[in-house]
Amino acid sequence: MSGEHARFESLLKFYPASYRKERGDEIIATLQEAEEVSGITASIGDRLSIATHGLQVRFGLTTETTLGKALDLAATPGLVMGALLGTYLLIWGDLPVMSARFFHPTFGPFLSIGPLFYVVWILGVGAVFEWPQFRRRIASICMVVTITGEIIAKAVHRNPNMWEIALLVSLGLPSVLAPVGLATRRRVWQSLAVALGAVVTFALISPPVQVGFFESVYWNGMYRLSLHMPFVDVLVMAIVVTLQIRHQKEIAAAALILSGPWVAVAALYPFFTPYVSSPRELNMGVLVLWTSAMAVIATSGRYRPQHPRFAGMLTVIVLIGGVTAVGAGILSGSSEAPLPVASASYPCRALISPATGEVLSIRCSRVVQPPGAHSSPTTS
Amino acid sequence: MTKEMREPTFLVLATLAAGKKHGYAIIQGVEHLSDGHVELKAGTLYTMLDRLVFENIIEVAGEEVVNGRLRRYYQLTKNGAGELSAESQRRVSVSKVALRRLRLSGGIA
Repeated sequence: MSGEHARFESLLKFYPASYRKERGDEIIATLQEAEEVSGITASIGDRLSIATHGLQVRFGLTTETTLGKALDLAATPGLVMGALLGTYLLIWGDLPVMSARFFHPTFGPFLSIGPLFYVVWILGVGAVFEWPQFRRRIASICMVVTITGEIIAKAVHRNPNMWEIALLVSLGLPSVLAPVGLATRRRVWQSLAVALGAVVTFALISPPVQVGFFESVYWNGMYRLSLHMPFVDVLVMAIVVTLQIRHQKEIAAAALILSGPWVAVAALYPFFTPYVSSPRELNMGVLVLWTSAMAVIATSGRYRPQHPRFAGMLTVIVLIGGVTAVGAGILSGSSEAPLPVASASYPCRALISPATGEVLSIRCSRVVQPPGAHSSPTTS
Repeated sequence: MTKEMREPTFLVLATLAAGKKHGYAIIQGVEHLSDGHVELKAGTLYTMLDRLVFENIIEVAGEEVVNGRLRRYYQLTKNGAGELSAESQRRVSVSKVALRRLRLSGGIA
């Protein structure tokens, strides 16, 4: 084996063995010939393009696989869903929080910088419709800005609800992973319809629209989502099964992908807020079902990775569930769920025992006694 | 095949209209046809070739070893030739309309 052959062969490591065996020599020959004719060593761009293609083939993210096609179908609706969700959260999540009188002296004009993220997503989707060829780049920028901004915001105590942010970021993932990096204009109306449907569903299961901190989506939206998600799951399952029966498996898979962030948040949120009552087992069961379905889709590509089951699970869990759940959980630190003091009209934060899930104390602007708490509540 | 044919795909198919070609010859053909405006990266080329083979637009037309290197040749299928013909005619008719309108408005001689 020549030195230059070996040099290019290291690039082929990104491909699954079956693809490497079938196409490896041909790809290396093309790279060698290009170098020979131009007299220029293969650029970083050439190497990156091979590495990217290799990873896409390995994880089934190509236009030939069900997963690739489904991601492509889910990409623009996911972004539009993110923008509409951002608009909804801005109006019924953050504005009531910002208008709550008692926060102004402590936190300044904004309780969180969530609204800024939502604006980024709304502008981002506008930009995708204007420059559809840059969908992947725009989605990446939105995601990076949101994640970076969230970390900074956490440090200066202007953090928006982490679960909401996790939902937003997850909805951008299909655009980044889709094999086709651009949007087509004829999917605009389909995307709007799908996204509107999702946001209307979210509006129906989230708290009634009222002004005030404790009625805001910011405070108890995720709790309501977790509580009512089984109903939505039934709806999603009905849609997926109907599409499968009609042999529209790519659209069914796209519906599954778009439901992923909601399913994951609904199932994992109660584990970070142990005192809220929600159908945990049911939500976890649906998450397991969803993960299994995605693993089947991810591993049914043309070129199977060496360990298809493992790779499929890894793709799904790390890329979608991981971003949604782990990111949210680690960064949020403390719970922002509704406390069992429904009549309270003061900002509160609960300190919960990680071992027992017991509410140890609640810090509020005035003393509030949590039901069933053994220790004395503290005041801030 | 989607109804929308993007420029790089059109250029690859137009390159193969002249007959079967291997990977690097396609890259060169695309660069030549586009006057150097479109430069296909190897990864992009093979992404496209995989898709076009899968959609039965092109097919493998044989292999040979030249200087110890494997060359795999690709050619248009009957279906692919039809797609390319339809897309070319669409582009020609749009261009004709554009030129006629420019002439009428005095944009060009």
